[in-house]
Amino acid sequence: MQRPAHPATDLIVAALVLAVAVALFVGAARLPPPRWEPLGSAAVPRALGTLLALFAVLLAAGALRALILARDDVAWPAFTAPAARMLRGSAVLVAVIAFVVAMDRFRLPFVAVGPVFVVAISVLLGGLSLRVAGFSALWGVVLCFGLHAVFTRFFYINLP
Amino acid sequence: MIDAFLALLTLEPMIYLAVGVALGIVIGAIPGLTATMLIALTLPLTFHMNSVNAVTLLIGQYVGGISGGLIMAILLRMPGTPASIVTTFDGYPMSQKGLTERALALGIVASFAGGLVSWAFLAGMSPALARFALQFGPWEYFGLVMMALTMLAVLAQGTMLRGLLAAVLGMAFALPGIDASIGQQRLTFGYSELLGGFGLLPVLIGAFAISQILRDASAGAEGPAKAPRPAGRLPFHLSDLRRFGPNMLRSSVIGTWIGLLPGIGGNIAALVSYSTARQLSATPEKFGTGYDHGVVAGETANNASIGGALIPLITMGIPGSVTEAILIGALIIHNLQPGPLLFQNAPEVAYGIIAAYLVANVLMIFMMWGAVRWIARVTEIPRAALFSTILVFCVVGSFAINNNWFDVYVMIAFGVIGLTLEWARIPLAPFVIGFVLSPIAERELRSAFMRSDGDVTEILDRPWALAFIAVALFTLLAPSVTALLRSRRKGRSTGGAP
Repeated sequence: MQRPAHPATDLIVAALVLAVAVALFVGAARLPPPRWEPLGSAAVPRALGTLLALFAVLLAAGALRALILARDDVAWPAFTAPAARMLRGSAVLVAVIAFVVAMDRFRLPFVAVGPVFVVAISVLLGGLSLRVAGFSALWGVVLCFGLHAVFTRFFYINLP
Repeated sequence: MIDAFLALLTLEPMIYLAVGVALGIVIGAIPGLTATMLIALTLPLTFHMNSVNAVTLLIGQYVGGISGGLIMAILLRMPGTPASIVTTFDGYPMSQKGLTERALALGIVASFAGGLVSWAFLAGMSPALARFALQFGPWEYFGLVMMALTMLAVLAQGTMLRGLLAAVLGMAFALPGIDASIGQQRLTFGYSELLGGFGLLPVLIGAFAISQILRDASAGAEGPAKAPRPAGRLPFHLSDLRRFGPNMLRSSVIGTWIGLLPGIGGNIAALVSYSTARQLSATPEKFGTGYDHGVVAGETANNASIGGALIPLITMGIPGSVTEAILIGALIIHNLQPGPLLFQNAPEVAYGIIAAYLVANVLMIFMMWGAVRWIARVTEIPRAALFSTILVFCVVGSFAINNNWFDVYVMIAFGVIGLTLEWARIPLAPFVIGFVLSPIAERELRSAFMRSDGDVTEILDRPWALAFIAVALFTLLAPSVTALLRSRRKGRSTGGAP
């Protein structure tokens, strides 16, 4: 069975959900009233916004209640632990964004950036060693040139 | 149906099916990688195929992905897919007793038996159910979608509140774009990139592939421990069919019917089937200690649940799980509307799915029987190499959909959203299925209101629509009512105590 989330996590998520609900209400307010049909374009965003706001309030109320009534012997999962463990995950995320930005903004070709990206991810996850870097560089070149050939020659899609 | 089989048994579709099953088995065998992720990543590649070949490839991956999960469940006590969790209960102890080959043989044959029986249900029920569903109007479809979503949300892992929140949040993310009814921008906030809304594929790839890799990377990316390699031949005799036949048949029926229900899935099918087998056994104490009937019950049911889940998908366009939601996405991408009209508008696809499911099961048993020892080796590939390759596929696949970078950024954003939901213990499945079903629910609701001129009481004349809404309400209220009654009973009994 899953452990419950830390009440502080629930409070943050409730705030984010509330923000989505507000965005739905703001977006729905800009839509015209129904003309040719009874419901109109804004009905579903308003309904979903109301439900999300309700769920966010219930989630926050549950979290606050848990925090207020928490006994000393209640062991919540450490709130900071995910952030600490997320370091490697965050590095992978940054590498993915950098890979995309390099091709999108800086117009670097896929066959040049792809192998570098494969090496970066392999080193991030497998540790820095000559063996890991060498194998991943070789694999990266084969993979990226192969994908480029398949997409351009068979699917007629020009990769950057 | 015969035409579908004849069309399938030609070179090109068979190659796609064989590749799909093989890929599915390998990915299903690797703990942490799932058939869902594989299918989501393969979807962009199917753009250039004809719809029958595309669906054939994806069905092959689905069958292979669920079946492959048993290998690591037996060898390492690490289920390759959630559907194989039950297989660890007896499969791993059997392996520990030196019966690895026997456990694998039973698991493979049981998977095939489950697939075969559920195919009979799929082939027998689907055309009739599709004809019946032709009577459905917008109220019925809206009720059906609400019922499916509610069941998915309530039965998902975690509390009901979190499941419902996930479903509604997923529905909300499907709203931006051009409102097809009035041809006007909605919730785009001035961003022209949002005119087409968030693409289904970037959302799926982000939610399932990117978020999972980020999560696994956070947890550490060491490869699995080296699996013991099955050495001898896989022992299975005809007399085993007599011994395990009733168990296989019962578990297949349980798996198929549980697969029919939205949101329950192969893991619950396997668990219910395992519990039933134990309850009906003369030696229930043997279950969990390496008992062959335990492996048979779980593996039969989880494969049978696929056939069951395909029934509402092709007859009504309702997904039973995330994988079916992706298959619906695949059909939509190929301009096919899943539902009863699929049998009329694209019979080659509707019957093609049914035929592909049977042939995929046949290919699966041959491939797994012949190659299980090498598949066990594939799982030793370092995670770092695997993840970097998958990430490259994610980026290239998302870009290739429309040849634009916005889809790639959407994929990354939904990867982060998926990770955040996971962090907050909010289930991902209702979120994704809410995203897929939201446009259908809105379209049917608005159409129903237009037809009835805004008169909601018209639903009272539609018994099936009322029944679906009643089931949705019952699913929502039953847990609270049961808890209330239980607490009252408890209060009464403690109040009466001295």
